Amino acid sequence: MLATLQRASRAAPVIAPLACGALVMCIAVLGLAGWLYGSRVLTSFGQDLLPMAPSTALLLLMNGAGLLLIVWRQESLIVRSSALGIGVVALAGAATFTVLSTQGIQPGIEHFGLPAATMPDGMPIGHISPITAAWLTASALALVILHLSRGRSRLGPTFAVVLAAALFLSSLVLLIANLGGAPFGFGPRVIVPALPTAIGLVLLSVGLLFASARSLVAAAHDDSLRGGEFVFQSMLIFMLLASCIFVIAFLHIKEFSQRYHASVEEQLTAVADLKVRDIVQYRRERFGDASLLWNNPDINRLAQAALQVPRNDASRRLLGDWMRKFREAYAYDRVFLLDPRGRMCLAASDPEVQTDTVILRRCADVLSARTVSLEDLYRSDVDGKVYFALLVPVYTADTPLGVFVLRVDPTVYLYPHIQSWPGPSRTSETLLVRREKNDVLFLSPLRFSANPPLTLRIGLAHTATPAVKAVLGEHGIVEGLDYAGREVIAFITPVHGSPWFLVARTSISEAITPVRERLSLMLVLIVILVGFAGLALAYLAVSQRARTYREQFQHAESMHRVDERFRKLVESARDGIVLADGTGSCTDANSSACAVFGIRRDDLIGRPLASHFWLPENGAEHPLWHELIRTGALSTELIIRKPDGTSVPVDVRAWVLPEGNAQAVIRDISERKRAEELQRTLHLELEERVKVRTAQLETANRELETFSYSVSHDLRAPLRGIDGWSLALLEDFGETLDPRAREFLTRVRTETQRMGLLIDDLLRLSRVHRTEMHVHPVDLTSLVHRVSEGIRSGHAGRTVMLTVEEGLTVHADPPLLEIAVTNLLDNAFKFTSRVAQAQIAVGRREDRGRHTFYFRDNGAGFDMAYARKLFAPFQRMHTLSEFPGTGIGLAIVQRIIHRHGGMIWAEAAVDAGATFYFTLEKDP
Amino acid sequence: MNGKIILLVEDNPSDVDLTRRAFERGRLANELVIARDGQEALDYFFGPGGAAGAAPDRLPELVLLDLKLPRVDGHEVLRRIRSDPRTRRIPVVVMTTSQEEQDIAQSYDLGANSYVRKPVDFSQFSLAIQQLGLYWLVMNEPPPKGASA
Repeated sequence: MLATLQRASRAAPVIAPLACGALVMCIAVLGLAGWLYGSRVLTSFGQDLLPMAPSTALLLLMNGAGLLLIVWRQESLIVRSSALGIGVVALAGAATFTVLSTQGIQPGIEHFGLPAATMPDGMPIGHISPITAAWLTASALALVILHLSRGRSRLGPTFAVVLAAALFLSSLVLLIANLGGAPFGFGPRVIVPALPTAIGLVLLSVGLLFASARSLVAAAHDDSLRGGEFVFQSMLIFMLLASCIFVIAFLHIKEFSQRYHASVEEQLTAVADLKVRDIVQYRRERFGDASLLWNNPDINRLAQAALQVPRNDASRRLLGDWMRKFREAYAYDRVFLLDPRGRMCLAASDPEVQTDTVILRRCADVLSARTVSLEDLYRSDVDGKVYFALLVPVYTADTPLGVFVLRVDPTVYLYPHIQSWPGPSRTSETLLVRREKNDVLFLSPLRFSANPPLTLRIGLAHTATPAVKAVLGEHGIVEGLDYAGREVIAFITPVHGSPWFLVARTSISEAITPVRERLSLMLVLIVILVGFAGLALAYLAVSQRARTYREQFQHAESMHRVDERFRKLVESARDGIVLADGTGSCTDANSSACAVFGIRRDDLIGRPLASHFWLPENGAEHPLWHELIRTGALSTELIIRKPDGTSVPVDVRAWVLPEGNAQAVIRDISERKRAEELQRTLHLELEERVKVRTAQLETANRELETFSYSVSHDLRAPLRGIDGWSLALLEDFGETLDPRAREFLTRVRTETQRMGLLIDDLLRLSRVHRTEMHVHPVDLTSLVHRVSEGIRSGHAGRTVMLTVEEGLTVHADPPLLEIAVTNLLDNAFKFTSRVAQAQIAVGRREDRGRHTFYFRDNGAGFDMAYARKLFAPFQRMHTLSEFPGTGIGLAIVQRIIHRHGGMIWAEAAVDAGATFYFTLEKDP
Repeated sequence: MNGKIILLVEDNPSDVDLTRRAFERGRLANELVIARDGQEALDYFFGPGGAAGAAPDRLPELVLLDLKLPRVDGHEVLRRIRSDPRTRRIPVVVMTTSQEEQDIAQSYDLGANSYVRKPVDFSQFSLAIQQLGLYWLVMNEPPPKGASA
């Protein structure tokens, strides 16, 4: 919801003016088209509504275009100037029309001379309303101001915002006035804005409001207004709020109006029904009176006697008394008896008064018609008053005797009854009419006409008049214009059994007065509510802005603090730190940087930085800046040439900031370079020495090998000689020698051969040391099995139980490992030779995270006190007579284990067996 | 087995005598020519200073060659023997005290027919000599006489 609002508020400043401007132009174009093609629907949005004037449409069109062009392609000078031109023309036109229309001047040019009549209520069609003209003048003024003050000052847009807000409110009022009836005495005297106009004005003001707010924000953008978005949000909320209030009010008024209208109609219908019933009853009574006289033999006889010639005074007196009583009892104006020739024969009162000509003329008809007849309301030619009369003919057998005339004065009962209205009303009345040829004749006294009864006539052509509608056969509730030309609502009905029609009417203005009052009240409320909403939002916007300012201030202050800290940090850094703008010119540098460059800060700032740096290899100027721009970051060693001619080696780390500026940290690396140089020299020296030493070592090695070779070759030869010649002595002179001498010679040979063995072992040991190693994974388990079989064959007749753990694998040089294993097993076999049940176990255990292998036997073992000497060459733990051997085996094993980077040790006790443990550097 | 010459290249007089004694005790009556060093051996084959060497019928049936010799060592002698067409097929048995792998490998590379380490024990030494003689001079079919291609 909020996100939608934010999106809307971001789009609104451009979308709203564009959309509103376009819609306004559409309405205007529709209106103009409606005029050109004579379509009322297009001009007034309804058949019987007031149409929009062409002049209004034209002005709306220009205003809409002006609004559209405020936001559309403002970068184009042509658009800008044409927009301003349109605004000025619209302003001038609207102002002119304002003056003209308030003066009541309505030139035909306003509707292009197209046929333009008046509304039924007399309102002229095709002319601009002064209200519209004034409104459009104001809006055009706002447009011109907005165009003129674009981005320059805040005064113009502020004024435009206020103007637009006022226009928005007033347009809402106009729209409601159009939809809900005319408030505030909106009336025929002033032309009111048409419905399309009102809609157009609302749209125009909304667009104007957004456009001016946008200008205001744009103008204020420089010094602060980051709250621009908030302004538009507030405005959108305001629009929504205003629209809601507007719709609710409109619905309320509509409902109220309908209800009230219905009650008025009910009242009219009730009154009219009642009165018609009374009038019908009244007429029936009058005919009833007449029927007393009609065909009454007694009356006939009396009348015959009274009319007799000569006069029968008694009868005349009797009849006269009866007539007098009759008149008084039934409140007749006059009751008299005429003879067939129309002469007054007998009267209940005032016999001398002349008989009305109308009556006299009817007498003959009545006599010949032989029925009671009623002379409808007529004006007497004797006294000028209005009467109606009942004529009752009197006969003797078939001879007409005369006519009873019962004259009624309507002012006695009929008129007062008709004129009376149940309840107070300023404009309600009932009236009686009847058709007379092509006219309607008003029979009763009129409330709003000086004409006495029977004088006012209206032609049947005036079909808008309810009376005309009545005589033409309509029945029920109708609306129209009454005899006085005012708008009325009426209930019309014929009076049964008579030529009369009853019209009960009340003026619309009175009928809708409560609606108008309610509407006016609502409008005041709306204006207050919307105004308050606007003020509240404006307050919010202002306070938001104040907060923004405050935040900005605080932000700036904290930024300043940060800046200060940063500056101190930078200034105190041992490394040189420089900042550069987008062109590579120095914008700031700390003192370390100045020291490295060897120039003052003022000389450094504003100069291109790149020219200080040179490549260390060839002294060429370094394309530092181009490379930095290309890669975004740089870290390299360069040379800085100081103005005094010296060079400084530096380590430069530079990077480009997102906004295009660059920073660089420059470290003087002279010290490091010197140290590096020194180190390099030392290193070279060291290498030289190592080389010499290595050569010496190699020589020594070579000598050692030569020595070994000599030992092998040269020492063995004399030994063989000693042995050979001792044997030769034994063979050739054995018989002559003493047995002890032979024994000694044998000893000489034994020792000689033993020395040969020792030399061989020594050579083997040295060979172990000299052999090149190739480490592979070796299956120790199968190696032990294989070696043990070879050894077993040398110990025939012994039972040795050998257990080897499965899956032992080591990383070792296979030939060397085989030698080691051979020696260990050899020992194990050898030292268990005196045990009845020899047992040898080979396995592996974990010892401090390392694989440790062991060879365990239950043989002779040894004293742990001598364990230290165990692995020295030619060290023996047992006498030769106990166990033969040279004592070189374990020395060889140790060398092999050490060459693999492992360790070997032993645990043993005398006659309790021995265990040899070893590790190898690389475990599987 | 008469008339077959054995050339013993050996600098140690004790070894020479012991070898000779071993031959005698092994009843090998072949003529034993002794060369006291490598140069002497070469001279026997190819003549001193580039002069003509031994006549073809004086070429030995077997050469017993020690490796460590004064002046020219055994490997050089072997190389020269194998590089000359006249002598290249003569069986050469290296008899030495060295057990160095390097020596053994180099001897075979140069074309030695056998490599025997002289044991210190003279009984074993004379046994080895007798077996060598038996093998190379009796059992082994000698290469055809005359120069090969």
